[in-house]
Amino acid sequence: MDHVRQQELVARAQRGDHEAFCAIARGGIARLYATARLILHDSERAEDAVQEAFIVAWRDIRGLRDPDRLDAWLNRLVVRSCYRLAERERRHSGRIFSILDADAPHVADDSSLIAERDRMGWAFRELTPQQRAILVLVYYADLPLAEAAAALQIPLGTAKSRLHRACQALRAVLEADERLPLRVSEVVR
Amino acid sequence: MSAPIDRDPIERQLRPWLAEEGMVREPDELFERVAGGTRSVRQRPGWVVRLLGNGIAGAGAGSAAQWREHRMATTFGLGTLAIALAIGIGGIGSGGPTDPGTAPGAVSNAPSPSASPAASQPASTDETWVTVTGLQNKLLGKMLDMSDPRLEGDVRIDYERNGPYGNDSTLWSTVTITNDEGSWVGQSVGFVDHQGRHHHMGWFEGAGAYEGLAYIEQLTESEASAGNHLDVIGLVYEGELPPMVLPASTLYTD
Repeated sequence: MDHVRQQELVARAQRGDHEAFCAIARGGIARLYATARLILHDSERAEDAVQEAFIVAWRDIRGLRDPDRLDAWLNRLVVRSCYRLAERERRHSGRIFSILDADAPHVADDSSLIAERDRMGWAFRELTPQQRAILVLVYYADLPLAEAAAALQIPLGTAKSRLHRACQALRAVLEADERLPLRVSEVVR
Repeated sequence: MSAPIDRDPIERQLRPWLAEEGMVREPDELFERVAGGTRSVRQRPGWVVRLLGNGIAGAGAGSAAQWREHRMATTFGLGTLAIALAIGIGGIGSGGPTDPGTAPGAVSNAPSPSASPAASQPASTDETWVTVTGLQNKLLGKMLDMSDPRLEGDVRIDYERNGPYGNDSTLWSTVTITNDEGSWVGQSVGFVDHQGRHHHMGWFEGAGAYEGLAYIEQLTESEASAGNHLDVIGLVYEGELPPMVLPASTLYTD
């Protein structure tokens, strides 16, 4: 969406034009859904997060002072919804463990590539929602750290340390997984 | 745009994985859910007052100048502090024991005294300010309908006042606003005007998820509130609270 068009739509939405708001939603829904899905690792909850974020956005859009900050603001609303939903689901989380044959020969084929991807998926899920969020905003959405910090509503220094710790945590999980014959294969709700 | 950290092996593994995982199309019905879900929602009013600008003329020095820099990254909060008149503001009239050792602003975790009738107020009409512990660690009410949800939450208060509660009295307190993500801990000073309406200024430091942020607010009890709530307008910004006491010559020196 071009800059002028976005400003116009925000201004109209702020005056109560629901069609204009729907145009904003249509323009950002794919990006926000992907972000929420990565943070929550759950399609259904990602849908809920996006819907919740847009409801808040419509309700509070008159308070958005700078239309150029629309995307950053929507990011913040989605992340906040993700946190809320993640917290709601946390108590119902559990793990299924499987024991892999530690002595089995390692064969580099397509299945091992898939296994590597699954392994990253599993390790990523092991992080806290806060850690996943900063990794998604910086490495998936490609936001500068200052914008990621704004989306997460934390100071820049905190964002830097959180990003660093998230990377460390991810590395630690992956390394631990390599060392152990007992591998977590799946995380289920 | 600059890369925030070194491209270490984790980042090199993570980026393509995220890109691949993120290549999913949103469900067809999601947009319809959003459009339908928002249609019946009533919009909140926008900003009533904008505080940005040359509030303090001239450039100050030291921490005052630092504070003004921080103002550039501000957000505003507008909402209400719902108060329970029976146990809250009204309960401030319950005169506790005189406690000269409890200085204004001191945080106390002592058990809350139950509100007692106004008849128990100590008579204090002379010119000497009498420090009276009004309420300690009392749940006063909730911050509701804030345009910035970080400021919503339970409001606990240690309240003190000069003499008996009533019109034309001054009040000061330590206040904590707490929600699931963090808290705001600070102080408030104000007065009850001749019509019995409250007017207060508060300043807070963030804790928990709000670490590194500060919040300054103004609370007013309007005629329209009918004694049920205080209107709140405030400012959240990254950085420290401004210096509260500086000589005017410092504030206005270039």
